[in-house]
Amino acid sequence: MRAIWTLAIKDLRLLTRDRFGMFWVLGFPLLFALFFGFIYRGMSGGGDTGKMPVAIIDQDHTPDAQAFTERLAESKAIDLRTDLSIEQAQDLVRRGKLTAYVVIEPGFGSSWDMFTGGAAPLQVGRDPTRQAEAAYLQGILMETCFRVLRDRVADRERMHRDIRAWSEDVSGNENMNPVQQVVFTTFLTALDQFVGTVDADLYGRGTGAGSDTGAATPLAGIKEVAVARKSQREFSPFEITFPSAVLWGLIACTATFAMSIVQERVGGTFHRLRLAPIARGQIVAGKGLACFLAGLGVVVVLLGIGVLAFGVRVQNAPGLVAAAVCTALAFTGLMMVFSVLGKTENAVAGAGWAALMVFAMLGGGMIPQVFMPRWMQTAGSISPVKWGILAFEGAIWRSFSLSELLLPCGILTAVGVVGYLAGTAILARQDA
Amino acid sequence: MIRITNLRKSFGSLLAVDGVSFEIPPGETFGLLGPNGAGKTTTINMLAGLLRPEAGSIEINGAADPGRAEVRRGLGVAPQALSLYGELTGQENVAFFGRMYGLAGERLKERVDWALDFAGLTSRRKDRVRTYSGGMQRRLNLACALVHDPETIFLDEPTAGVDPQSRNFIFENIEALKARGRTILYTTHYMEEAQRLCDRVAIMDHGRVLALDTVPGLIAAHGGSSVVEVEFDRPPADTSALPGKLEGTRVRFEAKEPLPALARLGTCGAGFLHLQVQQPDLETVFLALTGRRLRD
Ligand SMILES: Nc1ncnc2c1ncn2[C@@H]1O[C@H](COP(=O)(O)OP(=O)(O)O)[C@@H](O)[C@H]1O
Ligand SMILES: [Mg+2]
Repeated sequence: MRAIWTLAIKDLRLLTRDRFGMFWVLGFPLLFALFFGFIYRGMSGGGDTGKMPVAIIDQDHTPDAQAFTERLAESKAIDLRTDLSIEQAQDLVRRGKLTAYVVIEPGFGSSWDMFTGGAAPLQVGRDPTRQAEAAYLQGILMETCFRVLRDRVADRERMHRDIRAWSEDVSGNENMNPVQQVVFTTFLTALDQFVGTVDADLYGRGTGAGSDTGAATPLAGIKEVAVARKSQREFSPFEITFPSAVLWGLIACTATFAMSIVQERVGGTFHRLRLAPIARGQIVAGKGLACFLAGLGVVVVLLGIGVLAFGVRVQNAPGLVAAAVCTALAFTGLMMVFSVLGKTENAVAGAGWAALMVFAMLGGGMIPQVFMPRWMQTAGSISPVKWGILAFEGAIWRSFSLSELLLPCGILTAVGVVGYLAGTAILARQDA
Repeated sequence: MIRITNLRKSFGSLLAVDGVSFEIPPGETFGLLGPNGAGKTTTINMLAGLLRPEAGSIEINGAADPGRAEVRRGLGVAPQALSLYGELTGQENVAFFGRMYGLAGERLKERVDWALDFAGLTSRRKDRVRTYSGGMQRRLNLACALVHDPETIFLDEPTAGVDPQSRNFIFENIEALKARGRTILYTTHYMEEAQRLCDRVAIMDHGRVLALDTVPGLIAAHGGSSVVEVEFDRPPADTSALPGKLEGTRVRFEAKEPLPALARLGTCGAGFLHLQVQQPDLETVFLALTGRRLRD
């Protein structure tokens, strides 16, 4: 292990002495984040205040729709208008006076019943040139839905009523097979009992709501403050550009370390390392560790700058750690594969950068995926860049829970492990 | 003790090493002398465990497999190609390779100081290797191979591309290593180097060892005669004892043993104005063995 560590330290030291390398790893991504961040901010037209003008049209008129509108109006990122007809809103979006409008379609209230609907039927009309903000708005809408749902779960009487309705729904549903019906009925019975027996105070706290009812405990109060602050987020375009920038830094790490393997093979130092009393696996692992650590360093430095100076706020810190580790792992695996694409520096630089550019382009590293047609977004799924950006965005502003992060993180980890093993095996074969 | 028997290695259709055998007892400096492409580096790479021989066997300090960590720890190899990190300083290079051989702490520091001093680079230790001259890089290449104080040392053309001053420095270093009882395998295509440094020399060409002996032994067996040229101060009175034909006041002849012949010339009644004895060397030996010169 000490040998691997020594090897990695040597590589990191070499990286810090390589001015070009450092530019691609840190300088360029930072420029990228700032450049596009300021462009997006200019596009939103709001200057420093950056409030998105959004209209909401309630066609549902249920208490749930009402609650949704109120919750959305609380968001400081949004300047909400409720006085427009759908035609007026469309016109304003077309003329650039509104970023988007949201229509709460009839049936919104009943669609909350989990077995009949799916997602809440919200229709969003948006200005196609403002897609970055539209993506951001989408995150806010999801969060608002979640908050309304949570308020509702916090209302015990209503919860009992809902559970009864769902139970009837399930037992009367002919599309559901008997086993599913038994499972759901058992689950709902247990849920009903839980809602009935849990201490009122604890219940309110557990759902993060209820502090505005009389029985607020200090703890519940703190919780409410935290929730409120979350909704005070202002739109920061840098929250969209910094995750992409991190991916650019990782791409540069990948290219740099893939090149450094070739340089060591061409320059004879790899030969010399193989004369030392260490295994070939250790030499390769040292390179991998260096790439991984450099990747983590890129994340820390870039997001650190984003957080300290550009209003990037991290919603899910453990999620961010997971995103950073898994993405760095993925790009370490890619590095190993690229390092064996050719036997000369030029071959690897050419093939490696070409592949990475395609990944970056498809994965939304150049133009965010929300700007792309749907088919291209789908094609982007082959790119680890997409999953890396998704993981970082999930942890920063998409309000992903840890379980939602599991998909991108799982894919990234798999890319890392498979790439590493394949690259190592090919290297061993080329060397024999 | 190093022993290789009938070692063979080919690259595609090219037979780079073709049945090479030799033994190097502990403490000996053994030379592999041959022109570029003779198969010297390939032989060293097989001995160091970097290339797998197609046939033949290797025994190195009691082990059959040079790839084993214990064997490697006792082995120092200075590759023919400079193998250094240009963006690290000289000291960082030496320390890095020292750590790779398991050195740490005080011992590492001590050995790094020794190796840099040995290579004459103490004053430049904090400079990036990229800024070193060719000769300095060569010396550092050597220092990196010796930092872990190996018993057995392989030096593959350690003077390639070096200025005369650095070359002399390296010679003195190798003589110091010899004096400390190290076993050294030295390859070169310069016959002067083999002649000066090596206890025994194997002459290699086209993957084969053509002859193997001490330098005097090789010369005696394959070098032929010395060429003697004498110019007298006046025509000698007695020409009957002359070993060659007299042309004016000059005589030129070949002799296996030039000294007795010269002693006889001294008695022919004329003084020497000019005397030149051209003794056979390894170049002559190579010429005799292959019909070609070592370097063209
Ligand atoms: N990796 C290789 N692939 C193909 N040919 C090689 C390789 N290494 C050496 N050779 C060839 O093998 C022969 C011996 O090379 P080498 O051992 O380097 O000779 P020397 O060190 O005596 O100059 C040369 O003809 C060289 O071109
Ligand atoms: Mg050679």
